Amino acid sequence: MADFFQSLLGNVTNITWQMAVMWVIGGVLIYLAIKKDMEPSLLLPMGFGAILVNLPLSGAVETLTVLFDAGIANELFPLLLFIGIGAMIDFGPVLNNPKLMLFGAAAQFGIFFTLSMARLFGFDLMDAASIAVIGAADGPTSIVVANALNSKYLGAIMVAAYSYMALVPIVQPPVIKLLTTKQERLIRMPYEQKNVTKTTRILFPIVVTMLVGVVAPDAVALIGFLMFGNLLRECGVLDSLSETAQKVLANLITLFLGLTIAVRMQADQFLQPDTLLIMGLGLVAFIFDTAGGVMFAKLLNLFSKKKINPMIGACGISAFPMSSRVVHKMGLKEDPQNFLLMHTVGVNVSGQIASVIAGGLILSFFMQH
Amino acid sequence: MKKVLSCLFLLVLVFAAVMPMALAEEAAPVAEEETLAIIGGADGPTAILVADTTEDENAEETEEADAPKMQFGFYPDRFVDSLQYMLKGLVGIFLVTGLIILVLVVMDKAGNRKKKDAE
Repeated sequence: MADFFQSLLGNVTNITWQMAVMWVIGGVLIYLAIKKDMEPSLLLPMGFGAILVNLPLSGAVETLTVLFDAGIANELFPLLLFIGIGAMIDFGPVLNNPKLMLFGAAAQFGIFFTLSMARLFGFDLMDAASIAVIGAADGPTSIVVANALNSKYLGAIMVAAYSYMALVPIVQPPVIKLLTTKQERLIRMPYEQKNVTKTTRILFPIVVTMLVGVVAPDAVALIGFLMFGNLLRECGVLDSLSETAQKVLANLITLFLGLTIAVRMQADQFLQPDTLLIMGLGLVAFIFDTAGGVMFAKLLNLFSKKKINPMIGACGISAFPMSSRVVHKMGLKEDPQNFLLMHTVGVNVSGQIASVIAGGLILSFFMQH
Repeated sequence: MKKVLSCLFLLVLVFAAVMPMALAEEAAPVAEEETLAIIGGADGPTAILVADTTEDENAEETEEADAPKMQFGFYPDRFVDSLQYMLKGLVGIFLVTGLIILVLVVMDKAGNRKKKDAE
């Protein structure tokens, strides 16, 4: 009888306090996903996965490691997810006003600033570069870069990237308010709708892939899969594939992605002082991305006749579509007649492209061929 | 809702804590017929998992990745060195973005000219 209980409950003695802490972290992620509706499709599987892999002698680790090797170590999952994301994005607002892309570029400042900050705190160059890409506010790019640079902090980087993406409504507004005056926030920007031809919409993903591919060859897979998804959407003859990519494919990959990433959230690897530092650096990245976009808009205002509402610069952070909604709401709060949505969406999708370019540049700087 | 979630958690935790031990200690040396008994679970994935555990003696050896180790401190010289990447990166992004904008403007103009010609 004693043997029976020993075999049944003996594993309880293998529980460590570190595991308990990870259960709490997993619980918090699940709470944020369910109660606060913060990136639930990723935070919920990640939270549950964190509990799953931190149970004593967890048999799930082996299974999830197989999934990790099959889908993340070779970057397959994030790239496939990009097909779905590409199919979801309407680049119309950017094609309508291509200059908006400049804000997307400016808002990647946080990535490079964080790289320097991570170096300041002693991270080696590869890890610093991987941590910096949290500022891309784009999960798949972060995974691909961290993986390609063989960073040992993939778990912490993922948690930081997705947590801050979910926290955009909390992180961005104070930074924007701090850097802008009331008058600047009240600037109205009338939207001039142009007729974007179907040919332009079809050529756009192809041209962007070729341009980015030539300049940053390491980013070809990232930008190529994103733009392939968009081509499916815009070509007009593959609606069924486009819908599948947007819904079934994206959902399926997301389902596995969150759970699989959790394999890098085992207590012995995750509960390190470095993790806290990475979370802090992630916040730095998001703050300086926002600041980069806003300050660039203010700089342009010094020279241009048509004034730009500097708040839209903040949407260049990517984090689509959360960031554009946040800034649009901020605009409405200042002036209920100020509709910035089309501009914010344009900058936001530009940020999506710029973050991939930034990831590609980081790879070309540091990847060893 | 809260109560249901809490119960679910508790249930998962207790089961997951108990099951691996039961599998590890009971299943490792078990005879073939004991492995076969799991077929009675009428659950394919569970049967495969248990059978696999008994066959593979190394199944419990999980890959232990090296725990991250970093020398924490302040390294201003490294900060200064890394500023070159900030410069290169930002120049690179603006260059590529500028190229894309240029192509878009050209495509837009070409599209408009075609439209005018057609009209």
